[in-house]
Amino acid sequence: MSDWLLIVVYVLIGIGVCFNAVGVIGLLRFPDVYSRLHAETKTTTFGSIFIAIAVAVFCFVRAGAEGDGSQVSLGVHALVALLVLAFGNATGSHALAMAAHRCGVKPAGGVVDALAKAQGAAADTGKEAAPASEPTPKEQPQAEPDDGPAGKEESS
Amino acid sequence: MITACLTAAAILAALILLASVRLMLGPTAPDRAVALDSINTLLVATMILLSVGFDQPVFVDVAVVYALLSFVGTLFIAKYLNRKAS
Repeated sequence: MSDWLLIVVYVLIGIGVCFNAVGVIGLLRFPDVYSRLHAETKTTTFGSIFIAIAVAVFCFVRAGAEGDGSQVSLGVHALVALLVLAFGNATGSHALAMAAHRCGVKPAGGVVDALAKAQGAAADTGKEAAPASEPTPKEQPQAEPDDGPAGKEESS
Repeated sequence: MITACLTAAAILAALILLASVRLMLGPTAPDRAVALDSINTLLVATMILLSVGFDQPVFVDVAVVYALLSFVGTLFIAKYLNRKAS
């Protein structure tokens, strides 16, 4: 395969490895769960996507050069892994952040906890029957009075 | 290309070791879950690189199944933490 295509693949792999390294450094250095999730999920997903793209490009180009069918299947499966990573990591990190908030883990140095306020306001208006298995009905009343309850509680 | 893939896989393995430090140290259970999630993502990327490095297309299938299973595992850990909190 030609030289500049090889350089493109090297650059893609390099971008992926660098982003993964940044994500792991953030996982080690940040102070609380939420900032660790913020650092880790986005950068690690981005880096792994770039590595999968690099492998797919390499395999497709080599399949075109050599006429090898197994290389095509390797590239397609790398793209499938890319899709699974992109959707699975985002959903899983949302679930983990919600679970951490319910466990009572507070953001380090945080001043305003808007989600706890919204849930407390929803519980005050009489919807305490919804258990932990359904978080959506608790969050719906937060949508319309966006600044109202927060401003009131800060002033009191 | 083979050398580049294996080198990148070795760097990612070192990163997995660094992330497992947070897995052992993490003060709360959600911290450990976050570290486990990141280790799973890095491991999928490592498997994709190793499949090119060793020229074994089967490894990518393993990576796809591993990514799906780790996603389901993360969701179950989150569900467990939810139930323990309430």
